Amino acid sequence: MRKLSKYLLGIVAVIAIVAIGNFPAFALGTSPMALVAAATAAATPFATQVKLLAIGGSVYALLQVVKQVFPVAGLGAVLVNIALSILGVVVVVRPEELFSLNTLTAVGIAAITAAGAHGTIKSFTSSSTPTTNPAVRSGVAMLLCVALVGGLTGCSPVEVQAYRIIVGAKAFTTSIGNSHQECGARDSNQHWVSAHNASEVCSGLDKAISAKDVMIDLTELYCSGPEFETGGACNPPTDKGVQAQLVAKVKFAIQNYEQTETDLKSLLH
Amino acid sequence: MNPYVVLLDLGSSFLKQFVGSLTKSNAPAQIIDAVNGVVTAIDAHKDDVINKANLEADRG
Repeated sequence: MRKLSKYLLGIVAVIAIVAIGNFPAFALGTSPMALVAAATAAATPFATQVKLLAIGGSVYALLQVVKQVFPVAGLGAVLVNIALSILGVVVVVRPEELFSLNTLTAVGIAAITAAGAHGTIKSFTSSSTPTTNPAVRSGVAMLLCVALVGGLTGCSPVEVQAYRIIVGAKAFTTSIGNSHQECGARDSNQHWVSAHNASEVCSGLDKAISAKDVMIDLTELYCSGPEFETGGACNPPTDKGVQAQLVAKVKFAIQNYEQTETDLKSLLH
Repeated sequence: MNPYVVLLDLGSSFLKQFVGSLTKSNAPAQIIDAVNGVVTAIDAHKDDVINKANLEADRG
């Protein structure tokens, strides 16, 4: 029963802080569902919400590590939590929004998320795990750090990330091409044949397809090794310096494609 | 990081939930169709071997 009341209290706190942060929008007659719909339809859906969850999770993990090194507890832990949340939010907010209610709300949500994660995990571990065992606590904290850092930066190898985005890009550009036949058509090999239409949408679609093909070129360059060239799986470079250079190029190509997709989506609204 | 890939890493059910929420929103139909296609394609090819043939199949 106590656990349930903790969860309910946490949920009510998050709802309250989100409601306070969005009060100006509600006062102007915007419904909560409209705000959710706007977040869903954004160029990068729920980007802010995902970032806040990531910040909250990171703050929690960092706090666990800090607690292993320094005797931080009680009010000290709360202050460190808030300080880390502020740092996390400052990194992601736009400069012009730094001193705004939105930023304050984001800091509040990140701090409450981190505290909520701490309380939830503690309530589960207190009955089964001896929390006084520093080795266990340290291990759990480090595991969480590795999981978070890995999850946030992408555990998948760069060629896997690139391939997934290429597959998605092909599907995206094919779908938009089918909706805009004035822009061109696909030949029997499913290759795009542009009509060189000067409209913004057609030009944006041509750019997105070109950017996708650049991703393919650079992924093939990254993978090019004896096995890959004869039909086998990807052979990433063994030289660390060359590998780092090619990874940077593939990541740049991914960013470039994502920008063209975002631009194209904005033209379709 | 690409949001579709992040959702796929979390589990394909997240991707489907995302598409469901997009369908209920006021997003243009062509974007909903395109995102549906992206999600289906990424999910269908998530276990592909990354070789030249598979990469070349997505060219153009």
